[in-house]
Amino acid sequence: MTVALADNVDQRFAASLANLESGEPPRRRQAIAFLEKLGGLRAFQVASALVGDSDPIVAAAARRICAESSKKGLILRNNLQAQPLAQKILIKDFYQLLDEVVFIIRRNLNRVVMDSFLFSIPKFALVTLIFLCPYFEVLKEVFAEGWIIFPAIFVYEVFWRPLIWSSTGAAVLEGFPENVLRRQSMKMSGVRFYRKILFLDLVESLLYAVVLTCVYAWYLNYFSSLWPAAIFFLFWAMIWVDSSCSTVARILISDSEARILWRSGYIGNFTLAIKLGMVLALLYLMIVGSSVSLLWMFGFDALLNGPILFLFGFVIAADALLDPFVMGYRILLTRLSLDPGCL
Amino acid sequence: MPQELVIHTPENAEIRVPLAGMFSRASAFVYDIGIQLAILFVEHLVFITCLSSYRIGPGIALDSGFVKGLYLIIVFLTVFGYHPLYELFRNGQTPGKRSHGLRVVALNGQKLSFFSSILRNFLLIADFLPFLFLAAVFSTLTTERHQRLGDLFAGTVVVRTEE
Repeated sequence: MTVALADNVDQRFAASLANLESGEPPRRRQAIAFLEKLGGLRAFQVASALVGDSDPIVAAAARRICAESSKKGLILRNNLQAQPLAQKILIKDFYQLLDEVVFIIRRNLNRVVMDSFLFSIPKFALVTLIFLCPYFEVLKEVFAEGWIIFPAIFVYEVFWRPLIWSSTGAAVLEGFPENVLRRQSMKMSGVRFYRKILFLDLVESLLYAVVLTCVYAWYLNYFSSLWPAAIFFLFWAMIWVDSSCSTVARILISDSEARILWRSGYIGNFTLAIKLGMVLALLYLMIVGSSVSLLWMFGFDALLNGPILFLFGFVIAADALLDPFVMGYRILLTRLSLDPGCL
Repeated sequence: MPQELVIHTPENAEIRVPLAGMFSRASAFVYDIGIQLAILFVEHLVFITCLSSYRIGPGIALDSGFVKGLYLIIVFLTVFGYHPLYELFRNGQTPGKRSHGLRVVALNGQKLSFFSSILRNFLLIADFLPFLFLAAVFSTLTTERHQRLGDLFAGTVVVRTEE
């Protein structure tokens, strides 16, 4: 039975839908003719589902409605939302590799920023204390005591850094376009993971802590020069260049006992490591220089004439801001080494 | 956030172009800076040579204020005219962008207008602030289409080409 078309447009539209759902060609043709006459977004939405209809008259009318609507600028976006993320991206050069790190971070920017901020609170607190030194004698005395600062550096580098990996590292992994990798991020938590990354990263983090301790010891006049720091830095850099990605690779594979086959020149690639070092140096310079410029622009010149300790404060702040980028780079390199050439 | 510029044509066709990342852009910029410095060096050499060797007619000496002013205008044009010149007449590509496979286009995918090009390049000064383009980095990281401040004001975007 044909549903009667009422005078009200809404009722007539509803009646047309009912007629279209019926199996009788005359009713369906009458309904699509009404929709063609009605036009607008509602007709467009219905017609877009009928373009491939088995009844050629209905299909032709639906195509006409879609064409007319398109001319008026109407676009149905539900198809676009359903599209999956691109699975393969060709990486041609080093800068595109860095771009890809930024894209990955941007895909999950809120969580990366939030986690990075939360787990950098010790660093930011330290920076605040450093800048408060001129105003509080107690703080100045604390920062002049090696037996307080040196253990603090070791505790942070050895025991706190794995925690950053389990939070910010997981957030970065969630930004990858591949579902497989996104699922891996769930594994980056728990005591077992923490213990694993603590031991895998132990040599690297201990050496880094020694470098920082040497620099601070030089500041406290325990050492007359920066040579000890430079020598330890060299050792640390060699380990970093050669094996910095292995930790993440072991996390990414599902079976902790599985053997990793390095098939690409990305891991331990000396040129890439040197280039990254230069880019990081520039980024540090940009952040430290910008902080100094901002203080100068807003009239805090007095802070700039402060002790050399302030320079540590600026560098630590820059370090906290760049941590997610370095983590993203390491994870991406690891991913590429497992399947070189594409992501 | 999308990593592509989506352009809808009047025919309801959809064109997706990959956006350029900030490191590729920075590298292309450094490349262009190198070329600009080379040009400035040559200009300076020519100016110094002319200054010490020649005089233009009886009235105008090359060390006069007029010639120095002319030299400054040439330097200004080299610094601020380099990017608009290439972007307008070489299809949105400076030599640096060409070497990295990048191109500047308007948000609708069309060629840049004169005003857009001038605006986006003058705003490099704002992008540089407070030091070493931190404003540009922040803006590129946070805006939907990876635009620096100049791009935001001029309605432009840098895309990756497959050439």
